[in-house]
Amino acid sequence: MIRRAWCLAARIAGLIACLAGPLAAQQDADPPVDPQTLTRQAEAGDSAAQARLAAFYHDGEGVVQNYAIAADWARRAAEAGEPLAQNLLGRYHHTGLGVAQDQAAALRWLRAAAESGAARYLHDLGYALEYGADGSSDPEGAAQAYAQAAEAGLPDAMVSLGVLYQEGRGVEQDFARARALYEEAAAAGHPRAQNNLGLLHVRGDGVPQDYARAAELFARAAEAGLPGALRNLGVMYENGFGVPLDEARAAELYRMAGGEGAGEGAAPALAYDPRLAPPPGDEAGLQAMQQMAEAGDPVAEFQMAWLLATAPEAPPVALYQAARLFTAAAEAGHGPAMRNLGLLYFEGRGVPQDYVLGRMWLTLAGSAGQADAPALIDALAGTMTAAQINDAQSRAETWLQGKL
Amino acid sequence: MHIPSFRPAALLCFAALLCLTPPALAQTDTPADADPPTMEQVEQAWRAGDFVTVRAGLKYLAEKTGTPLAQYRYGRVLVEGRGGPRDLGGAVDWLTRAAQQNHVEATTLLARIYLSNMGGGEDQPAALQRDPVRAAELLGRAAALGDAEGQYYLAMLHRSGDGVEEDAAQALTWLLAAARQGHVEAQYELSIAYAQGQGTEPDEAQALEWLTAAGENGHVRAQYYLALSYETGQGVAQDAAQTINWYLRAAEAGLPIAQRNLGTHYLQGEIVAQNVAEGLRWLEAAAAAGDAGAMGNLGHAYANGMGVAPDEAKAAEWYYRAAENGLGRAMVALGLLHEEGKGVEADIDRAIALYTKALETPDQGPAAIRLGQLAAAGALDGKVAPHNATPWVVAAMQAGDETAAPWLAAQSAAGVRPATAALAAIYLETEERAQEGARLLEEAARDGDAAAQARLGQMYMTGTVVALDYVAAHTWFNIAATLGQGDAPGLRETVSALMTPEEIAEAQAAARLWFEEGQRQPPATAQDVRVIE
Repeated sequence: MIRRAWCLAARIAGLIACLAGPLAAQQDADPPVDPQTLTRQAEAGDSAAQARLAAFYHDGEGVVQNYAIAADWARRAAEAGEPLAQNLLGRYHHTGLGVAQDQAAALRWLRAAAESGAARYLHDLGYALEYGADGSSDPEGAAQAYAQAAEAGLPDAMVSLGVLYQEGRGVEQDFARARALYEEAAAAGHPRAQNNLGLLHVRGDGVPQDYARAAELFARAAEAGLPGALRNLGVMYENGFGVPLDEARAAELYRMAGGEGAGEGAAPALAYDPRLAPPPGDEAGLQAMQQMAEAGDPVAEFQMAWLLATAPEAPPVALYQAARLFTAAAEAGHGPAMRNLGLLYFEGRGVPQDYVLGRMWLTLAGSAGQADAPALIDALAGTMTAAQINDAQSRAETWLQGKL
Repeated sequence: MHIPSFRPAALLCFAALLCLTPPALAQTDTPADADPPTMEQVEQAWRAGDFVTVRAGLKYLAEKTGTPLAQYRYGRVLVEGRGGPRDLGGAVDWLTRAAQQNHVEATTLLARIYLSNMGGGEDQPAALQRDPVRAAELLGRAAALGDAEGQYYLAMLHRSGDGVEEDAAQALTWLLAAARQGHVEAQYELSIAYAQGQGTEPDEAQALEWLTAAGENGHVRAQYYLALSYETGQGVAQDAAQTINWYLRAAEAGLPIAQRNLGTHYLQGEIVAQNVAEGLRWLEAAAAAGDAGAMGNLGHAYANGMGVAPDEAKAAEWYYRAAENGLGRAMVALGLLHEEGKGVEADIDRAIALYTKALETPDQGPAAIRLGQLAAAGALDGKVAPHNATPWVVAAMQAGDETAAPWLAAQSAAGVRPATAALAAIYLETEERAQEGARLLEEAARDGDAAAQARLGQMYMTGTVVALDYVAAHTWFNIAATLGQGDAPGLRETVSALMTPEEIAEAQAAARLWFEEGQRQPPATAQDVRVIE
């Protein structure tokens, strides 16, 4: 008896996660350039430079990541007809990052970008049509856009179109078409395609039912960490479909699908500043450190905060003091303090849990040379709303302006 | 009256070793002064208290005859330091030889030396370090040979797991063996084992039987507990005559708490014919021995005219002595006398100081109530900060004081945060004023009371009294967590799992605003320093 629902991998991860990828493809062709030069060119009205500068701000390359500034430059370049900028601005309007969420504006700019014929831009248009920012859905329009992108060889579009054929949304239900689309993308190693193709084999939709083949496909998609595929493979093991019955393995797969222990390490830890000598261990050294911290020395503040926050079973008051000291050092521009303060905000230790301030400090930490800050943002900020991200970036920008 | 529970007596201490009964020496009439001393001459010298001769004689006999009796007696004289300095090394030597010849008393005594710390001094050889394993092995031999003392000590080792496996059933077996041979301490311990079900099912009949045996054999604590059992009817039918009988025997033996209870009974004249002279005699004896309860009972007798003419001055004097000895209820009673100026000078500050001191005793309840009544009546104004008085007023309110609620309301209105929180907690217990309680709790939470914040968050999370609101719940948990409320971080996580990212964002912004608006800081140190010492 199958108790669990099958997971069709229909949507591209989340609205915001689809923006996470850098806009690198376009830039590779361009000669390397520093943000200052680019800013001068952009301000002089060079639309290509404006588009590239928007991409810089989007990725946080050489500048502090800021979607609102990226959107400003993207708008100028988009109006001058730069497809990359049009696509970026359309996606911003779709998610509400950097600008107000606006489905009409999103479609206008995504359509403009799609007119360039680039498969990725066509796909993004299809996605915005299928999942409108205002809750609307235009599967017919989406199917057309996906079809053009699939025609141009984009596996993502093949799978998205395949889902529409499988479910009969916007097009006549057609398992054979769905299967053909999935197979082409699956052959290119696309996990969602593998998973969805597996599902056709489980149900016998357009193919003879074949549990062994389905399990094999689920397993390949699961290797890529696709949660739906992990769950589907779990169902196969729980019921012994196409694989030996193995409830322990099933439970493990469900657990991994739930995001626990799916190859992820422990929660990120506070880090010491590797440039510094270890904090003093003797009474005289500690006293000197405390005096310097009280006098506002950022290094002493950081060291004292580190000792307080990492003491075994630190009481709440100690954590509060640590956060206060990290804040003082961070305000003075100490990168490792910014990084640790960001973590404390995400965890709500010693400070109220606050993803906005957490992301703000991690963003600033990245600009202050903390190499792992972008990865920490990726790991911690997954459930932030667009408004929170905008707020965090705007606060980081304001903080930087205040330091100029 | 205090009713202590059964407690195993302290065991195997060094002092116990010095309380050995003298060896049972046979009565003989051998003439003295033959060249090689005989055991008869040694025994004669012992009776005469001539321990130098005893020691010399036993040394000769132990060395020359090699009988286990001589070795044992010589070893024992060396342990006790009779007729010469104490010589533990020599004692262990001779007792070991006697034990090797299966002399049971020597075996047990040797074991007790290994159990004691008497060999642990710096000047003692390492061989005399405490060695419970060795002791247990020796006691096992003595117990098997039927030595009651050995059986008793072996039982104690099994009970504590010292040198042997902890084994309550084994302990009970050996206690039973020793008790049946009339070993008094074993009989007492056995009754405790039966009463508490150690190594056996609890058995009140057996417990009473062995407690009676120990009592009849002169065990003072057994006598006291027998009296207590007959008095309270615990495990036996209540019996006034038996109560007085056993109290009397323990009192005669000098046990202060028995003297106190006996004297009190004579003064009360309820279960025994009133006898004021006896009552005072026994209470004063216990008081002289430092028993604070007896002092307090004397104070109570004079304050209430219990068998004696009421005498406020004497009452105050006895209460004072009891209070000085740490008796909380006497502090409260003396405080009341000071409030009214009965038998002592009227002194409200003195009374408050006494109540405050009583808060640190087991009698804190009545002290807190009285302080609360005083606070509610305004008598503590300017003496104790209202936020310190709040828990007392709550106690007074729970004790039925009708001025307490208005006082709390007034303090709450004046911005005393603990009063607001306390009033909220009280109203939330009721049905009709729960809404008001929620409003006050919100007030206390806004004012920075972390406990109130956590409770309010839980009410929002479950929709209790207030409308279900995860955003509000998260906001308050988040603030309380930052202020150090222990359970708040876990609760924040719990409610987060029920919320959308948008809701979490809203809640986090609200918490941020709360801190920004008030520039609030959690207390860096414990506050609430008492005004009155």
